[in-house]
Amino acid sequence: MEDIIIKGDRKGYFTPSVSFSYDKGICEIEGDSYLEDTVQFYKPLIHWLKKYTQTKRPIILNIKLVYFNTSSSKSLLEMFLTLKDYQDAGNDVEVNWYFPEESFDLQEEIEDYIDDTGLDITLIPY
Amino acid sequence: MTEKHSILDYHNFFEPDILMSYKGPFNNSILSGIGNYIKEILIDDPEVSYKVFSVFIELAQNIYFYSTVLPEFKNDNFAGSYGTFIIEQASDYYQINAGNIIEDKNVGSIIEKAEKINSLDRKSLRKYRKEMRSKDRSEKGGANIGLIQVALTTSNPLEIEVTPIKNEFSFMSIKTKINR
Repeated sequence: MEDIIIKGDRKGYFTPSVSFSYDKGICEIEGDSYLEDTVQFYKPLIHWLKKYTQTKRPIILNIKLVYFNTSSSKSLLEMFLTLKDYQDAGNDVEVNWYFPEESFDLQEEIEDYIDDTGLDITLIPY
Repeated sequence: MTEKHSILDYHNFFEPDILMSYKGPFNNSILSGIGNYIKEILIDDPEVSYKVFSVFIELAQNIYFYSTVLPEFKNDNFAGSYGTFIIEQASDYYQINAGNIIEDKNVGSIIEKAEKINSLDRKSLRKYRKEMRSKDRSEKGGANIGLIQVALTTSNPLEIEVTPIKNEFSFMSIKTKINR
């Protein structure tokens, strides 16, 4: 499996930086996600995760998203549900979401994701 | 400008309490330009900046999905996704106003949604967002959750105004406030 490396952009379009490493089993998404065609952007990431879940290896997802639009939020849900299934099948899944401590709205939204998916997401304020 | 348009009239139309105004196409580069500008001018208050920015993006996306152009103005360069956006500054809030031309057949569902959103408390709104997010996962875009997100971000009601323009077309504006 090939790694996914995408350099984010905050000047033009709002694309997050992405690093999905197969060897390390660590996936990271960081930055802003407000681009228009989010479905197109997240599709390969979701595909990668689904493929990875066939390996039965542990996985860590670290998220450092601050701004993301509702369109991106649907793709994030898709990723969380994929990982939840993987976890339920007895695999080792760790999800961490780093957020600025003053972002009350964001914290609330992460809690709603946990509530909605049943996936264990660790909130890490900074 | 052609003779029928006076740039001075246009300039004078905007009062100093208007932080920014834009009328024109809503595409990716405009969105990112205005978005970055909002972050710049509100940099001293990260929480408000986050909220204004987030509301802008969702309302712009709403324009992107629902706006249309009157048939007589439609041409190859000018096909749709056209709207007006204004941020006003008051002593204790920012008022955000987004408007666009809409086909009458789409008006009902947006008003219905806004009324529902305005009737819900925060807890119910969060629940509603979760429901809609799961339901719409397969669909493109996010306009169905956009207005819910705006209400959660501002904690203020959505004010919708619809002015009929001509057969089958109206001008619709969505207004909301962000407390400072």
